Amino acid sequence: MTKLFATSVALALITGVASAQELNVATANLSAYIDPGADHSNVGSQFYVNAMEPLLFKDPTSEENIFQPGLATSWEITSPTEMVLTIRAGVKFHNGEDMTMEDVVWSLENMITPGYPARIERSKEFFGNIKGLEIIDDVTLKIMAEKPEPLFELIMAAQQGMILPKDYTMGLSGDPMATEESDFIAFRQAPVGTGPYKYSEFTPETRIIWERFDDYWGEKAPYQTVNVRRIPELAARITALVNNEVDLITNVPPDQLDVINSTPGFKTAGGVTPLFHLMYFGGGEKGSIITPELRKAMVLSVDRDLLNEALWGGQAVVPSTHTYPQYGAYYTPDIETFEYNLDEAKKIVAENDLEGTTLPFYTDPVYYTNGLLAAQAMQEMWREIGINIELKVVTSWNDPGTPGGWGSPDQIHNWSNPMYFADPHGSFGKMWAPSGAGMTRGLWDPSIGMDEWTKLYDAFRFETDIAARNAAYEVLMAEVKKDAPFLVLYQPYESWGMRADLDWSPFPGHIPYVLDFRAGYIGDEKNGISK
Amino acid sequence: MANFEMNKSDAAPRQKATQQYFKSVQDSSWLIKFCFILLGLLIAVALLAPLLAPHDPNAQSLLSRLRPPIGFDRYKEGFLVGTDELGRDLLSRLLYGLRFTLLIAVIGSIISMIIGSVIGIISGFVGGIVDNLLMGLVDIQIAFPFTLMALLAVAVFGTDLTIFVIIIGLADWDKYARVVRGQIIAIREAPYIDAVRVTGAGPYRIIRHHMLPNIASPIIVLWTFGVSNVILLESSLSFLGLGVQPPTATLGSMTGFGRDYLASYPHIGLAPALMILVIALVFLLLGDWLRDTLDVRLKRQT
Repeated sequence: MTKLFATSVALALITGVASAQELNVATANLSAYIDPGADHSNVGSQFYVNAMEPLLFKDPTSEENIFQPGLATSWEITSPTEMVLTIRAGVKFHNGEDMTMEDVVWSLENMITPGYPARIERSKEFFGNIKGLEIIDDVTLKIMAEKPEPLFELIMAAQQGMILPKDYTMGLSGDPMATEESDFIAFRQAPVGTGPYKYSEFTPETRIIWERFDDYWGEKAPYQTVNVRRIPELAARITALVNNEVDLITNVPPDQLDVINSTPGFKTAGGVTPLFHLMYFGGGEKGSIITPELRKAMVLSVDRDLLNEALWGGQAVVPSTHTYPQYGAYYTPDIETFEYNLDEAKKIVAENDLEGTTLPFYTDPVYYTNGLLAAQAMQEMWREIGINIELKVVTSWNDPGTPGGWGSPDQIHNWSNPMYFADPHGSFGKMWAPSGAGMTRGLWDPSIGMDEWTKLYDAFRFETDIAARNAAYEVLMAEVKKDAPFLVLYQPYESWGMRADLDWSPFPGHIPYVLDFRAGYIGDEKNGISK
Repeated sequence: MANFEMNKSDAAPRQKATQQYFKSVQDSSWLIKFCFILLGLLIAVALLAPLLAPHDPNAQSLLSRLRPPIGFDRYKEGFLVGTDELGRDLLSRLLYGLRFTLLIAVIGSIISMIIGSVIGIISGFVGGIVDNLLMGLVDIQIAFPFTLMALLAVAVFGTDLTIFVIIIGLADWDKYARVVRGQIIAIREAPYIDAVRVTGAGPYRIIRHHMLPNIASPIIVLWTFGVSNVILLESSLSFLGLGVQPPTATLGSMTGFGRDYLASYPHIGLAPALMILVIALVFLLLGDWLRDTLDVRLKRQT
C-alpha cells in the first residue's frame, strides 16, 4: 500500500514535471519582424537560432570557428572560389513540407541577388562575393565565389544564410508560383523554418511563443513551450523575475546584478559581449557642421576607461582599435586607433574655432544597456571641450526619415557594431566596408574617396597571408583614425538574470544576444532538463 | 467725478476684504499656517536654487556614483542627499528640479487658466450656437486621454521645452472653461449687469469691469488646484520620458530615472518623489482652504 502510494506520488511528480515544460522569458526588446535574411539587429539576433537553421552550424560553445553539419551534412572547399555541400535528407519545415534542394537554392538565391529591397544591405555585406550556385545532383550543391573566398564556412553558417521554405513563402501572397516582395513581407509575420522550435505566435514588438517541433530532424527541443514577451522597463523586468512570472530576463546592467544575486533563488550569468557600442558623428555629408576636425576632437575627449570603470564596474572591455580576441590570428590589439587625449582635443577645438558648437544626440532610452547613462556621461565630457550636446531621447531613433534617423546630417548618434562572424570582415567590414551598412547609409564619406577606400578594403578582404592581411587592416585603421567617422566605446558586459536552478549562459561562439534554448544548450532542474 | 467717487467707494471694501483674508489666515488651523510657511519656503528655495545648491546640478563625478545620503555607509562628504546614477549631487538636482518643476507648473497652469477663462467667458456671454460649439470642444478635450495627446504632440513636434510647456498649458483649460461659463451664465441676467447694460456699456467693459471681478475667486481657487495637477502631469510626462530632456533636472524626470534603482539605491527616486508629494499636497490644502475662505455661501452658514 505504501509502495503504491509512493509510486503514484512519484508518477504524479514526474508527469507534473513533464507537463510543465515551459520557459518564460522577458526581453528588453523584441523584433518587429522575423526574416533572417533582412535582419542584422541586436534585437533580431535573439530570436532565430531556435527556429531556423543555416547549412552549417558554428559550435556556439567555442570562441573559435569550429563548424558542424547543419542543414548540410558535409562540405568541402574544392578550390579558393568553390565550395561543395551535401544537403541533409529528411528535414521538415514547420508547416510539414520536406526541405529539398529547391528550397536551399531558392533561399540562397534570394540572398545572392535579392528581389526584396530590405535584404539588399545584408546581401552586399554577407554574399557580396558569392557569384552563383550550381546544382550538381539532388543533394549536392556547388557555391561559387567571384574572388578567392577565405570565409566560405562563416558565410554559410551566418543567420542571413538560414534556409526558408520556397513553396510556403511564394504562396503567401499574389501568384503562388512567383517570388514577390509581398511574399517576404507576409513571411515576416508568419515565419516558418526547420529548427527544433516553431513560431506558434508572433506579435511584433510584444510576444513570441515557440512550441516544440515534433518532426525536427535532430534532437528534440527540451521545452514544450517557450514564451517570450517584451518588458522594456528594467525595473519591471527584474520584478517579473523575482516574482516568478518569468524564468529568465535579458539586459541586466552591472548596477543591478547585486539586486538579483542577493535575492534567494535567483542568479545572473553574463559576459563580455562580442559587440562594440560606438558613437558615429553625422551623416558624413560634405558641408555638414560636423567637420573631420570636430569629429577628431570629440573622439579624443571621451575617457572610455572612466566610462568602463563607472558604468560597467570595469568589466567591459575598452579596445584600442576595431578588433576582437575571437579573430585569432587576425586579432590586432597593437594598433592604436582610438585614444583619450584631452589636451589635444582642446587644441583642435581652439585651432578650428569649434567652441560652442551645438549638436543634437539622438538615443533610445533602453535599446543599449547603459546607453542613456553613457550618453549623459559623454555629454559632460564634450562640454569640457566646449561642445554642447542636446540629448534627444526618442524611441523612433533608428527610423530613417525621423529626426535622428539614419543618415540625418548634423547630429550624432549611438550605434553598435556586433561581431557577425569571427573575422574583421564580419564586424568592421559588415559596417564599414564599401558595401557595409554604415557606408550604404552614408555615415562616413572617406576623405581619400570611395574608390581609393574600396581598393584599400579589397586589399585586406581577399588577402590570404596572415601578416599581409593584418598589415592591410592596419592601413584601414589608419584611415579611421585620420577621418574619425566613429568612436568605438567598449564591448559591454551583458548579463541575464534567471532562476538559480536554470543552467544557461550566453554562448561565446554565437553572435551577440542569441537566446539558444535548443537541446544541450540549456539545463533546467525544475523541468528535469539537463544540459 | 462720478467715476472717482465710485473708485473711492470701491477701495474701502477691497481693503476690508484683504484684512479679512489676512484675519482668516490667522484664524485658520495650524496645518494651513504650516502650509503657508512651507509654500513660502519652497518658492524661496526654488528662486534661490543657484545660491543654495552646493554643486552644479549637471556636474558628474562618475567614480562616485550611487552614494547614499548622510548617515549611511559609503556616504560621500559634501553630498548630503547622496549622488545619483551619474555621480551628480542629488540635493543640487532637487533644488534645480524644484525650480524647473514650479516654473513649468506655474506657466503651464496660467496658460490653461487664460485659455479656459477666455473660452468660458465667450461661451457664457455669447451663448447660442457659439456656446454649443465651444462646449463641444470642451467635451472633446475631456473625452480625449491627455497622455495620448501629449504623445502625439511629442511625436510630431519633438521634445522641446517650449512645446512641453504649451502641451502642459493645454491640459487643463476645459475645467476653467466649464466653471467660468457657469459663473457667467449665473450673473449674465443679474440686475446689476442689466443696469450696466442700460447705461450703454459695451461687452468688453461689462466683462472686464463687472463680470470678471465677480467670478475671480472661483478662478483663483481652480488655479491652485490646477497647479498641483500640472505638477503631477509634468512629473508623469517626464517620468515617461516625454518631458524635459536629460540632463536637465525636473522632479518628474528624476523620479523616472530613479525607478531603476528603487531596489538598490532608493534615495535617487524617493527624494524627488517625496518633493512632488509635498508640493502637490501644499497646493491642494491651500486651494481647499482658499475655497472655504472665498466662498460666501459657506461663510453665511457660520
